[in-house]
Amino acid sequence: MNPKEIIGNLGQACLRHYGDEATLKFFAHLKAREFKSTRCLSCRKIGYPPRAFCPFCGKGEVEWVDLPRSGKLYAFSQQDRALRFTKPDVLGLVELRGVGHILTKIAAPIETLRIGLPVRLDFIEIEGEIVLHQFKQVGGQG
Amino acid sequence: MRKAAIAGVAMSPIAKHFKRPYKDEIRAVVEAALSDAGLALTDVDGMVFTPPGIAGLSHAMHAHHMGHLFGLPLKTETMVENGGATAAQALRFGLYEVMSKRCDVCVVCAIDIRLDPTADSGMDMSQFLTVTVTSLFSVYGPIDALYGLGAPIPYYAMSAQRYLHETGVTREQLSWVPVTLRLSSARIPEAMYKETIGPEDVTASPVISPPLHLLDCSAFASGTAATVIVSPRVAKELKKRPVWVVGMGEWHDPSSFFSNTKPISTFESIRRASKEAFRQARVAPSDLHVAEVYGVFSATELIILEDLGLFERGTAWKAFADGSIGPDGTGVWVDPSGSRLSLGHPAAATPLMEVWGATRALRGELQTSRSKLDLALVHAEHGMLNGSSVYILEGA
Repeated sequence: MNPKEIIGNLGQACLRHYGDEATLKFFAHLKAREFKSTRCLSCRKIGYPPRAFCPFCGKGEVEWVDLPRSGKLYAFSQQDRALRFTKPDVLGLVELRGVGHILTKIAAPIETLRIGLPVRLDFIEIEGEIVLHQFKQVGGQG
Repeated sequence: MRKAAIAGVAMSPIAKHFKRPYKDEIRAVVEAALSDAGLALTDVDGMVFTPPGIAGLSHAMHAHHMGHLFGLPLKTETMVENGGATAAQALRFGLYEVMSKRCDVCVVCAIDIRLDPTADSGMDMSQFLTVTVTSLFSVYGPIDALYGLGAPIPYYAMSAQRYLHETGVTREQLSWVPVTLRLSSARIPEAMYKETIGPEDVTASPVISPPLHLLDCSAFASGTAATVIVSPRVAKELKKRPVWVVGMGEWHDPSSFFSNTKPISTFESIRRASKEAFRQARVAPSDLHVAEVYGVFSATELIILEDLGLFERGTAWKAFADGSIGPDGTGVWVDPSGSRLSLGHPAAATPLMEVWGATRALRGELQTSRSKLDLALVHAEHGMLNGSSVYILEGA
């Protein structure tokens, strides 16, 4: 059995065990090709990852809002020991205005990347399992 | 609250895998630490443990089984876990047991175990991967875990990339970190890597996650260490002069593994935890003779030393290039234990290896041309530095 199959088999169970309701809802939105997180009704700050309360002011009421679908590459690297995607597996932190920098897959060769590069949201479906977010270069293929 | 002293330290050789069952390793290292202190097992009234491998099989009842292993009735018997800071926080538990007068001799024993997916270990590849994938979710949280991180290296590589980008420190200057740390590990028999290296060896080693090469990274390994904490009354009766814990600090950012909203090339947890420890000890960074830091990657080592206030931002590499942080240097001695990069890195036990290095340096037991060393700092962290623990130790 390879790591991809194991994540496939265990992923849903791990998600339910280690995630909370907000995390499960986040992935349900991704499945519907929606990219959302939670915004505080009081201080209006958006938190990522989504949470059932506001991590900034501590208030308990939040709403689900669309996250920006474009951003800038804040940092990037790649890993050879990739448990999910085929190597070389390019991972990056994408800076989304008003949200912060989030870990995601970067669908581009590492040689073409630089800090500050404009990127846009894309979805990656892992068949029969889950939909994740990834980012592509603006003007890139696909 | 009374004072507490470190009276004995010991660590096992650090290697990819232990040669014997971990319980035998634990027994040996605890006996060695007590012998170092001049105490016997029967003097012990408290024991604090860490899980037998944070990424390993179930740890339920570990502390209790250790009480059984040593055959000791104990006033304190517990297990502490919090990622890379595990052993540092176990140490704090032990210190409080002595400071609050519950115990007179408290042993803290930390261990980490690299899983061995071979027939010999009774674990096949599919079982190994199942444990690995489960711990992936536990460590990185349920969202990032789904991207299949094989290790935390990409996070730290991005931190290194931002550090170089923001400070102007070059890839070549970064290479001095593993090179100079190797000078200390060359004198430590327990260390995994002792051969001296040059800066060109660093960039000639395979790229793991750009900009980090193999020699920029610590090797996750198996190892165990023990620290004996004693009350002032016990310390007075011992032959070796004690090392006093004069400052403690700790701070945790409320984020999961790393902060999505704060910089990743400088860390609030280091500044806040060290500020608390320095204030308590009534000393300044410039007073330190020794610093043991949890620099698990070359750039991380520089970031920590700079955030501790030992160097201006972007300048710590110079003290590696000119050797002043080395065993025979004239500046603060960084990582006399041999460092995370060269000693080998049993993550959950590493902070006690750092305490070993600081204690032995303060006692004058390590090979160096430096004159008397009086004040040391020990730093540990969890996640990607979104939590830090800092201790200040003073030689008698």
